[in-house]
Amino acid sequence: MQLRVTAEQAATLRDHLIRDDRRERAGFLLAAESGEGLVTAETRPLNEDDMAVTENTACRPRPEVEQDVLRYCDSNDLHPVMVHSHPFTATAGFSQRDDRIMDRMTGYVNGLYPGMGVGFVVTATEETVFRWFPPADTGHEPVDGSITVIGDWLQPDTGLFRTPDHGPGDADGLDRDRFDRSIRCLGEDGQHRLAHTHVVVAGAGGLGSHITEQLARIGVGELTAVDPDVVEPSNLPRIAGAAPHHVGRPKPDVIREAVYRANPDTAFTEIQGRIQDHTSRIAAADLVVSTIDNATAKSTLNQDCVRHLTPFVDAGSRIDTERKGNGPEITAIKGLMQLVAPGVTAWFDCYGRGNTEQARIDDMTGDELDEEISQGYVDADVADSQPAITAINTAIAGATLQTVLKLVTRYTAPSALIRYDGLADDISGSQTIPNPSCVTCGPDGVLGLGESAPDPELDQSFDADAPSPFQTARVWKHWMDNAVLHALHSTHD
Amino acid sequence: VHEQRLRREVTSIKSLLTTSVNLSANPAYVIIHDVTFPDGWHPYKGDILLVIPENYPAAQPLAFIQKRMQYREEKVDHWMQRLTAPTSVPDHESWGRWCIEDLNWNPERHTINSMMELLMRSLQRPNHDQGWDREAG
Repeated sequence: MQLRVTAEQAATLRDHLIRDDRRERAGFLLAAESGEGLVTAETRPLNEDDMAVTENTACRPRPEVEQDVLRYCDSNDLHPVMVHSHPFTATAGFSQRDDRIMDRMTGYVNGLYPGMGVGFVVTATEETVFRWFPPADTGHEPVDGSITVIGDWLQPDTGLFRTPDHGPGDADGLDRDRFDRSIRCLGEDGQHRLAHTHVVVAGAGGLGSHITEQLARIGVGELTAVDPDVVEPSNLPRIAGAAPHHVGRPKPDVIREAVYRANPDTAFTEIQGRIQDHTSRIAAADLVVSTIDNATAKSTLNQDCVRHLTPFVDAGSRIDTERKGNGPEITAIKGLMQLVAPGVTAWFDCYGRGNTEQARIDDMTGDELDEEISQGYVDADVADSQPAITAINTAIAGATLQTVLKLVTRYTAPSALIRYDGLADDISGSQTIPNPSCVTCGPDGVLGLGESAPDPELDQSFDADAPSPFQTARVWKHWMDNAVLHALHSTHD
Repeated sequence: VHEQRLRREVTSIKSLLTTSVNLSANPAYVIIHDVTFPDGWHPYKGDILLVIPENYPAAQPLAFIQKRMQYREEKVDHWMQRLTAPTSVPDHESWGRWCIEDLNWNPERHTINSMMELLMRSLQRPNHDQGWDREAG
């Protein structure tokens, strides 16, 4: 079980939990399901007034505070993860007292909310441990999980919020002969990380095919290529590994061959379809790379990545030309690579710079586009193919690949934005800062909401006045029973 | 689609218009029933369909009115009315697209609510680019 938190969320909790006075403190992460893991939607540091006990070696929230959190989680389809600190030690672990608290809390949550799981985290000064008690209705046993901090390279201290990384074992299956030269710079740990990384690449055209093929070549262990299109003759000069006999075949199918030749050990999944229709892949991925040029698809993909706290690298290029004499003249060659670490670095939505007009055009049916062109609302040439050449694709693919390497192997912090100017032979990197009121990654956005569904009957007629499930007699009975149980346990602590 | 935000906005619309609202998640659309149209429309009440884009709220919903709605005894004369709702919407051919002018969608400012306000305003002068309606307006 993996729990993802953003570096911002981790920093908020760490700053609250680990202080110079070395007293134990507590808080909650409110987590949503995301594929087979969890993502953090909100953090709730608990202050002195929220606590029943705050001592140097013990802390416990007041029962009413716990109940408020449970109610909130229930109505928002979230799971509570109780976090407390052991600021007096470097190594993290659950104490006997912690075991008793976990037993008590899971007992009443199981009775009251059978669909709700509970997590417990202990964070010490140098590491963190996480235990997950799945919802009672799954029948699954508790497991020790891992915590991944998204964007920790921008806030290095939050790396301590991660669970211990025990590194590769002796029998890790790493092909040291094949990757000898890589290991000489990335180290065995870096190569091991690549082998245990799953990257989803959306778009398998001139840019996506090169990125996918190169990711396999450097040793990424699992790749998923997603693209709805088939190979056309005009794609052959740019798609990695494409040959004339591939014309008419799905692009991801052609990439499969290139990936196998590059590294037969890479597990490869091909999906002929739109990435928006495969959000479960986004939840499962360690990283998503997008090379798609459809503005709506790109915007939706970003929203999904922010929702599942999956780092997202968007790459694209553009060649502008003007008609001069008998042929075109190149006026600009531009490339852009943007890294979105949800909640930590920015996306176009943060600055209100989404290409809404292009998205509107991309969403039109053929009839709608024809009608808008005839009415003069849209230029007649919007549907024309754009100039493209593989030299630009491979340059941007290289910058994207290096960003992925930095993210996965951690040899240095990646840039959040790389600009490439192919006419001036200039490449520059910079960082970005998210907008606190962003509609996508801000407090009213979708950050860490995962698969939480506000209303399980959303497809039905909506009635805002319907009683919440919490107000039913059955649930109230469990609630009362467990409140009494909780009180009894509390008196014995 | 940011379902949580959409749900909040639909709740708000429902309480403001005191009307029934259907919300579908996939495909995402909202039908606001029995909306009272401005003077000149027949019948005086009709449904409004908002088709929610996949990346909502980053992009603006599309608005549709029922094709049976008439303004001053005539069909509305606007080319957009020839565009029907997406096939994923039940009875899609019964809806005609409605043009909301002057809405430069900004998700920080606009909501389903503000869009409905603009839509209702635009329904007051559905043929405003024609002389006879300009006088009426």
